[in-house]
Amino acid sequence: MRNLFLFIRRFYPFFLFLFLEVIAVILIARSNAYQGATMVNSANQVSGWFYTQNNSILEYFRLKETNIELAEENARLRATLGNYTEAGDSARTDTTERYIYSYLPARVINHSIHKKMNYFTLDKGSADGLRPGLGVVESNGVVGMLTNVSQNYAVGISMLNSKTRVSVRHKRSGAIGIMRWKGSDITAHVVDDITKTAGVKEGDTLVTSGYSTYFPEGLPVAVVTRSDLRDGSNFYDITSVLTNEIFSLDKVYVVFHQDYQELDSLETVAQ
Amino acid sequence: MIIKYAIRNLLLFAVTFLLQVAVLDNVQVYGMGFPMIYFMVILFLPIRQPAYVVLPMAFLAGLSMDFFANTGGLHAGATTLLGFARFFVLNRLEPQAGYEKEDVPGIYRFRATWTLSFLLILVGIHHLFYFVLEEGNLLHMGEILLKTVVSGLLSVILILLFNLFFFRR
Repeated sequence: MRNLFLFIRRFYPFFLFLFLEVIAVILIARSNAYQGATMVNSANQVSGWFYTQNNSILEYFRLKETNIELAEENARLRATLGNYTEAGDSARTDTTERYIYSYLPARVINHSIHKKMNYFTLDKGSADGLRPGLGVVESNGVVGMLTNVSQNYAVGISMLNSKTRVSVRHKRSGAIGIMRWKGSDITAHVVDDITKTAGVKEGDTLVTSGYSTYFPEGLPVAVVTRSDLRDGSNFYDITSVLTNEIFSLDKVYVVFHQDYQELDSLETVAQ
Repeated sequence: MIIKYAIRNLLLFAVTFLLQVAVLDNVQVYGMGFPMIYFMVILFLPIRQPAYVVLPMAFLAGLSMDFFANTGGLHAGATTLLGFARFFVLNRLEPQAGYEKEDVPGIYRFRATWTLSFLLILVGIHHLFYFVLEEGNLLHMGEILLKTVVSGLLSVILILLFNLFFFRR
């Protein structure tokens, strides 16, 4: 017994080290799981507050850019609005039609781009109705999906995260594929599962498919930079570059799908 | 004396941590250099500090970084290893005359070569372990080593600058 006691006393630093290291590895493994159900994230009061302060300083340096982006978005929206009012003169009376998606503007207060798993932090949380599993978009592309939400802040996996999967549609042919990031080159997103009948060429646009409740259909995601068809393969090897400026995330929109619960439970049952 | 040390270390941690999350986390040099200095306070703890103080402190310093950087537990793991390795490195580097009771590592107490090897070894271990954990496998060892060397040199330079100005007596 005495020997055991002496043994522990002599080697306790090693056991303490091992114990802490095991905790760290468990935390890492949990954060790498696809669901991303980690406790260690920046959707908490302390880092949220800090990043809000930090962002409120940094945003002054971006004012000009932000203005231009908003003006461009305005112009785009105005153009689409014009189409609607012209057609809508002959009174739309179908009251069963409703809007499936609604949007909540939010601000990115922190995001990284040079890790293997990149995340972004928003200045809105569960108090504003956010919950894990919502999609986040920008005026000219897709930003990511929320994984952790606290009362006032939310964290999501960005398009630069090897966990992120986005269902995309090849705009010209309508073929569906899955987009993912391999974890190093920020200008190279891989698209799997697009069949060889699609006839993909460089410069083609990839848009969201609308197959998930994350994003509405037809939103631009990326432009094809390389497409190869290996001998004997039925699917294209596609590399693409994102349409949004991943370096300067600022104003974003959280996407709400009205019927997500119904879809979710239906798809769970079907599985 | 103890209170003076505690306050100084707390201040050092606060300053390096803020510098890390506000500035250094947004810095990258040619996609290879990602300087990290938030663990500096662990390096500069008094040499005789026992493991039950150093290891938990190292773990907590890393974990607080993880909370800010959304890195899961990468920093906690790397910084705990740094705290553990520090005992062995201090042992190896012990001068002929031995350490004195209240010795703190750094340029004002030891020679430049001592300080430089102390920092290079420990920062190297920390960075290497961090990048290996981040990658999750050893397939891209070349890239990991390159990142370790470039980032490590940047970090050591910053830590030395801090040592020169922060610890001035």
